[in-house]
Amino acid sequence: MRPLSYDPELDTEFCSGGNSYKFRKIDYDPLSDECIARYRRLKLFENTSGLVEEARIPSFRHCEIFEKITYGYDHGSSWWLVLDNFRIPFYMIEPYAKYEFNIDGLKYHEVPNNIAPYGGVNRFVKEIRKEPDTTSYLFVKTAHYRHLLDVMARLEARAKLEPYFNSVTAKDRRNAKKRVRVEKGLIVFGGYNGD
Amino acid sequence: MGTDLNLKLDLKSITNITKKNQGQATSLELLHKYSITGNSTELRKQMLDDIFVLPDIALLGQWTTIYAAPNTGKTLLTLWLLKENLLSNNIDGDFVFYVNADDNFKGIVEKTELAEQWGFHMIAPNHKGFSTSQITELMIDLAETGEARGVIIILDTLKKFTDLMHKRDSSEFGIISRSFISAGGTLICLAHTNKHKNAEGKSIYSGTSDIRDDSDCAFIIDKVEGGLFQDEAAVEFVNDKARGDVADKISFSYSKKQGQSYADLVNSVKRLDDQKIGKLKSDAEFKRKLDEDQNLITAVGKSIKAGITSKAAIVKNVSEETGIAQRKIRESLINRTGEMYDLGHRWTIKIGAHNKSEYVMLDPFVSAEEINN
Repeated sequence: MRPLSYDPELDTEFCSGGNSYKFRKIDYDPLSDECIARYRRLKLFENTSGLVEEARIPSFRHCEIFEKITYGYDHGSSWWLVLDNFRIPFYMIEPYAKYEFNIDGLKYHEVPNNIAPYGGVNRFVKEIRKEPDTTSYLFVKTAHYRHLLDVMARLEARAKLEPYFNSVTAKDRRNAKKRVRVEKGLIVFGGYNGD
Repeated sequence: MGTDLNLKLDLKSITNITKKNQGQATSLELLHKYSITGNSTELRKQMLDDIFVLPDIALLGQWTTIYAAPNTGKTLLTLWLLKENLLSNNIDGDFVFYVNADDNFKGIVEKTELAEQWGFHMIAPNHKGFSTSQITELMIDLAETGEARGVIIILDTLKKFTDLMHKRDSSEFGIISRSFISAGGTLICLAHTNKHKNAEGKSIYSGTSDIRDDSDCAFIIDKVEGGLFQDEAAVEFVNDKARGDVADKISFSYSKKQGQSYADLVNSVKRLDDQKIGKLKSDAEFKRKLDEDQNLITAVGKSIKAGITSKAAIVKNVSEETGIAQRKIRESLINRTGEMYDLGHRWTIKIGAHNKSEYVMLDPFVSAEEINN
C-alpha cells in the first residue's frame, strides 16, 4: 500500500481547501486550445457522470482508494456520486500510458477518450493526434461497482455523440474568452501549470 | 458504631488525598468526568436517522436478532431485504459486512456473487485469513476507535460467534454488542429457534434469554403452512421485541425448485399482503382442523354406512369405536353439518320417515340437494 498523504493521528478530514480540477489543469492557460478542449471535456464529464469534484484534502474515503493504487497514479482527482442518503467516492487517475490494474478491493473502468477530462498529448510527438496519450481510469471500491457501471453507461452513451477529444470550435474559443472575462480575478494565469 | 463510621470516613478522605497527591482523579471526579450531560447537541449530530437496514425489520443503529428454524429462509429473506435497500440506495453497501459462517463452499460462492452484484461485503471464515473468533475483537476495536458509526454487521448464524446455550458467553457477547451499538454500529444476528414450539404452535428462540433480552429488536420467523403452490413457501416475521418503528408482522413467500440457483431463489421472494397471509393462515387452520378430525370423520362415515344415522346413536357408536369424548363428537357433528364440502362440511341432515332426522355423508362430487332427493 502507498503511504497516505496525511497523518491519520494528526490531520482532520477536509482540513485543507485544496484546488479544483479546473484551477489545477485549465486555468493556467485558459485560452489555449488544449485548455479550451479540456474545459469542454471536464464539463461533459461532470454533467454526464453526475460526479461532483472533491477538492478538499485529506478526504479519507478517497484515500482508501488512492492508497491501493500503486502505479499509474498521475493526474489524480477525487469525485463523489451524491445520492439521497450517502455519497460514493470515485477516484480518477489519468496517466500518460495504458495500464491494467488488478487491485483487491477496487474496480475500475476506462473513461472514453473523447470525454475523459485530461486528454493530454506528448509534446515531443509533433504529429496530429486522433486519440490522447493519456488514459483516464475511474476507480471505486468493489462494493460500489454497481454505481461505477451506471456512471460508465452514461459516459459511454454520451461519448458516442461527442466530437474527437481535441475538438475546438470557434464557438468554444468565443465562450472561453467570455468565461475568462466573467472569472476575471479568479483565474491565475500561468500560476499553476497542472500537476 | 459512630466510631466505625468516622474511621471509614477518615480512611476515605485519606484515600482521596493520596489519589490527589498522585495526580489521580477520585471516584466522584471520575463519575463527573464520564457524565455526558451537556453533550446532547454533539450526540444528536452523531445520532443516526431512523433508516431501515432491512425494510420494516431492522433499523440503523440497533441490534436486531432474527430467529427461525433451519430451512425457514432467514438467510434468504435477510439477503432479499438487504437487496431491496441497497438497490434503492438507502444504505451504503461499503459499510455492510455480511459474515456468512453457516454455509458450504458453493453457498459462499453464490452469495458472494450476489454481494458483488448488489454491492456489499461478504466475509466468510477461512477466507482471506478471517476466523469467526475475530468478530468480537473487531467490534470492540470499532467501538473504541469511533469507526463503528454507520458500520452494519450481519452475523449468520449467531451460534458460530457465541455459545447461545451458555449464559456467561451470551451475556459477554451482549456487552460487546451493546458497546458496538452505543458507538453507532448496527448489528443483525440470525439465530435458530427451538425444535419445540410453544402452546400456541409458535416458534420460540433457542438458547438463554440473554441475546433476546439484550437485543433492541427481535423477530421470530415462522412458516405458514398450506395454501400456496406446491413449491412455494410462505413465512411470517413476527415481532417479539421492539425499540423503534418496526413492523409487528410482515410476510413473504418464495419458490424453491430443484436445481434452481440461489439468485433465482432470491428473485422468487415476494411480499405477501395482510389479506393474502390471512387467507393462507385460515386455509392452514382449516386443513389442520380437518386433519385433526379425520379419525372422527371416518368413524362417523362408518356408522352412517352401517345404518346408524341418528345423532345420539352416532355419538355413542363413534365414542365406543374410537374413544373420542362424546362432547367432542357432538361438537364436530354440529360443525361439520352442512352442504358445502369445500367449507369442511362432511355430512348433512335429511328428514327421513316419521320426520326423523338422519345424518347422510356428503359426497364431494354430488350436491347436497341430490343427496336429499
